[in-house]
Amino acid sequence: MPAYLKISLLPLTGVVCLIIIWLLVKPVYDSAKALDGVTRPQLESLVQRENEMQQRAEKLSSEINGGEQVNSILYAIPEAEDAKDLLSQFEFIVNQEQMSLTSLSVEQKTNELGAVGVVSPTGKSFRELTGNFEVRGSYSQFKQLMANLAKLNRVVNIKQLEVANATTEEGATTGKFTLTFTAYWQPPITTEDVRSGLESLELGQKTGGLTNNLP
Amino acid sequence: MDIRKGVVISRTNLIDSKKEATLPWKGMGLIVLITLALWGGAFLYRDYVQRKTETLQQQLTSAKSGRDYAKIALVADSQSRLNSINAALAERIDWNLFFKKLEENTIPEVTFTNLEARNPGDNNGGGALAGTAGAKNAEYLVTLKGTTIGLNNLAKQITVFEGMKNDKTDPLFQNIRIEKTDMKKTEAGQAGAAKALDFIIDATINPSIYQNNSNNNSATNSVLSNP
Repeated sequence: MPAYLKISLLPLTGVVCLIIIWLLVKPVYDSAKALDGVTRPQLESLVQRENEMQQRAEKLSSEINGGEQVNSILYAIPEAEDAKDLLSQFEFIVNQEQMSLTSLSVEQKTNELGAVGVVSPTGKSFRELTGNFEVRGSYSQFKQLMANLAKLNRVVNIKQLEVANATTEEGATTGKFTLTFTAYWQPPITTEDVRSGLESLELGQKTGGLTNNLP
Repeated sequence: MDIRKGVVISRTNLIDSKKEATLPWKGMGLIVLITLALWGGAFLYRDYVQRKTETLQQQLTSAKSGRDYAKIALVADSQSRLNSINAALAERIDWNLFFKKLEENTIPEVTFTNLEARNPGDNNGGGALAGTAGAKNAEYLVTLKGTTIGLNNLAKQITVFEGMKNDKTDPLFQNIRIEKTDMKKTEAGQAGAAKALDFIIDATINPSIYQNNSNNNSATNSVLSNP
């Protein structure tokens, strides 16, 4: 074998080995590194998040269930319109103040974004139930009525009001108070909503804000 | 690297001056060994990471299988509802506070007979001040009808309201305008006496001043205040 060949054999081996490393070892190393550098931390974070979510759900649900909070929350913004219940509450506080209720009506607003555009989980938002009622009585009775309205378990906002003089059937002067109110209700987040929301989240899809409200 | 380093020059051939070199087995072997070690190392590393990833995947699957969707739904629903309650309460007007301030700032010579408050941005729109500068949709428009004796009292009342308007910390009205005045005719013999005056005042109130004040006693607030 010529000497020049023998001399060049070592660098040649080096070059061949480098090519082998480049073609065969590097892809294996790269795939391992991608797994180690991206997939593994992602999985670790997902496991951590999953455990944290479950712990928080456990803790919060026991706290919520433990007290009267669920009921209070559901009274404040119920799962359905409950217009009948609302009207009877109005009637009750009007009677309590010994005022006379001369008219009472409700209508459901068609917008789904709520009065302040708050979007709740799964794209569902709180909805409005508006209406108005007219009562007659004295100014002090009216003020007490307003105070009682603010204390209602259900969130009711008075959006418009009119105070005027009126005369009773007996000819006496009394106050006529017309109130336009807005109450709220919100469809519930069901187990199925949560399940599909989490699945969408896992698929990397945006789920209309559901994830913001997950524990 | 000195490639000649691995070459052993033969000194036995004294006839032929041509130098003969042996193959650099050690160097070549070392290079091949390193390559194989790297190859094996890469495979071992990949296997290790794959095993680790599979373990994590199993942990995740097992964690997911332990999900209590009913509890998560309960918490998500409660949180969402609390957000909605917050949002609804944030736009609540404390009308009692408004009336209290109105009473405190009404001079004895003036009697209000009618009051109308509405938010033009809410539903009905329009209103006396809707087109005027400064009447924003966020503001409530208030129309007050009243009666007094003489223009002086009306001026005094406006001054009181104006004074409140300038009170940056606690203003009742933001934009006051006399919409209409109607001086009643005096009967004969009453000449010189101050005349009864019906008037209409338009004003705006900024709801933010009366918001979040009335919720202290509400049952819902107790929910919100709980951790």
